Amino acid sequence: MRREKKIEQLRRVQKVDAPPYLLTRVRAKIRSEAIAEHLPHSWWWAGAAAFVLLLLLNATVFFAPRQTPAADLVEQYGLHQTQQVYADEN
Amino acid sequence: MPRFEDIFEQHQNSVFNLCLHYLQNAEDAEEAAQDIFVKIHARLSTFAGKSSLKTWVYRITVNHCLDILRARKRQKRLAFLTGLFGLPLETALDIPHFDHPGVLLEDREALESLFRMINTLPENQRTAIILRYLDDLPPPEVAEVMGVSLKAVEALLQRGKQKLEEKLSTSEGN
Repeated sequence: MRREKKIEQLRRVQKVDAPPYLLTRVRAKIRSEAIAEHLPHSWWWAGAAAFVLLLLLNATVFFAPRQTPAADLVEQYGLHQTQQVYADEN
Repeated sequence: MPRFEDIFEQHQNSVFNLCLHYLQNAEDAEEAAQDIFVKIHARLSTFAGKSSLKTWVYRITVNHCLDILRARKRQKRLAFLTGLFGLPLETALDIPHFDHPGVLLEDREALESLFRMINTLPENQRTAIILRYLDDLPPPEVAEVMGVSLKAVEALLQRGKQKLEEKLSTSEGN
């Protein structure tokens, strides 16, 4: 019975008024969502073009054949391929 | 079709109060009420008039609040995982404190614990209890908002109350 009374205590929660300026804030949200939804088509195309360009650039760098392999460079400049600096006297 | 401004004028208080009952924090309730009215504005053209406008608004409100609570639950799980990796729990989990402006100071302690118990109930029992006891809707209207039969609402209320009584007796035992 006491517990039942405790649950009935929920009815003591009072109704409050919605905060002032709620409608102003709702209108601002509606406006900002409408702007986001109606981005000009040219923006979408520009974004897509930039993305494709970036992909092409990456692909070019990744798949381009190497002009001067490391072995050619070593030969061309007469570089040592070992860590030994001094000539072997024996 | 009803005008958005008229719907807002008519239902702003009930939407805000319902959000408060679910979220128990004034700031969160205001944020939720804003989003609910944005949703109502966007969906106004789809309102077919099959149910009353009040029921339609209430359904959107209940669903939105339940979505927020589900997201919080997911956040809690994520916080547990981040806790496992040694990150501080506070950064991952931002639990809002109890701030219900409709609760009088002298009732605050008792009602806060009661609300905490309501939060542990299954979604449909929680909704039935909130609509019936906090929003004071008659059972047929609760049934209409929840999209269930009157008998189902009575059963949900019965089970919800029973669970609350069990929780109360456990807390009194401690």
